[in-house]
Amino acid sequence: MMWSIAKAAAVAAGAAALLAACTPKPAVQCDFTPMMQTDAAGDPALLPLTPGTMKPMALNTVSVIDAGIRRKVLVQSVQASRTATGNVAVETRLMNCTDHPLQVDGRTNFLTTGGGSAEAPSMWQRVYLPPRSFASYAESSVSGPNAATLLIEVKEGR
Amino acid sequence: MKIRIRGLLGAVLAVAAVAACAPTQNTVGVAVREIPQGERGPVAGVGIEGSDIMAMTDRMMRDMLQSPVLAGAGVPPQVIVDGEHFVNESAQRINKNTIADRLRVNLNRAANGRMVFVARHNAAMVEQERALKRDGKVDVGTTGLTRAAAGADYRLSGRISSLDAVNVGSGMTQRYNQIIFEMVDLERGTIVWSNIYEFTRAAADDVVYR
Repeated sequence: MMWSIAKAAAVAAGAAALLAACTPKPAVQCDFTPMMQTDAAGDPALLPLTPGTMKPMALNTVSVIDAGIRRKVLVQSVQASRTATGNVAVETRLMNCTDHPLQVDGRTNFLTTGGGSAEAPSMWQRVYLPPRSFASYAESSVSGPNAATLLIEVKEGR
Repeated sequence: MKIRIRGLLGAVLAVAAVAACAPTQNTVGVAVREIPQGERGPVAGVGIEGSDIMAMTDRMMRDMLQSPVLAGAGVPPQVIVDGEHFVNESAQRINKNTIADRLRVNLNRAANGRMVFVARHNAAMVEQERALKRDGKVDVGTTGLTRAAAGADYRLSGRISSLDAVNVGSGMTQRYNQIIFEMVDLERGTIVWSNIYEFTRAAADDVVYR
């Protein structure tokens, strides 16, 4: 009796392993570990007034401010350039690492070289992310040469 | 007996006085709360919300300032941004001036001299003052007289339209909202800049826009 149960369990485990091996892996696979370990040392960052009270916030990058999507949305790229009218145009490509559609909101803070606000933050803009796919969020500054650095914030769209 | 009635009356008055001073408890209502700018509040439907107006005007303003024709010309162009040629053909009742006014104000602040804004919506006010100056009823002010009020190179036009679908079985309503913005060259009649803001929403319990 014991032997037959063990044999059945082994067969079932083997079948499950075989099935798992045959199931196609998703085209997009994400690993958030390197992103979580990113160290902004040396890069432009927003520093706290009193040292040690806040972790430096890296500039010219994306800050996912919503813990609910921190392990769901991956930042694939951030690219910024000057437009013909002297403003900053930034575009970031976001990857949806889940098997269901996601909606996120993005906004950009354009800052001066001294870290002050070059202009009011842009309004939240909705980005629709299909499952295991990516979409772009783009924004432009309006304050000309005053905008030197930027910080994009992303949260879940509700 | 008379004394007892007087005492009762006094007690009633005392209770009324205390009740009048006590803070009002709106126990059955919902407390007023502030909605963060640009975020949807608890009362929302399938149409254009305040947050949409803020988002769309912000996006249009930023896009216009990337246009070399509008924001990169050697001589700042004179533009009219008002609701006069902004038409609403959607199913929703909406004050289109909320869109045009917010766009003009934010654009004017951000343009910082790269565009000159003609206040055509205040043309009557300007004409009245010009007439008073020229009649000698008031002095000429400090900035001097001009031969004529400012004309415009470009003017905003736009259209709000929508497409509704209702499932009579479930009561679900779905609406596609489309808002287009165009800057028209007032001499040549060409469109020098355009952009679109569009979204689709569905809900079972729609709200009334008024």
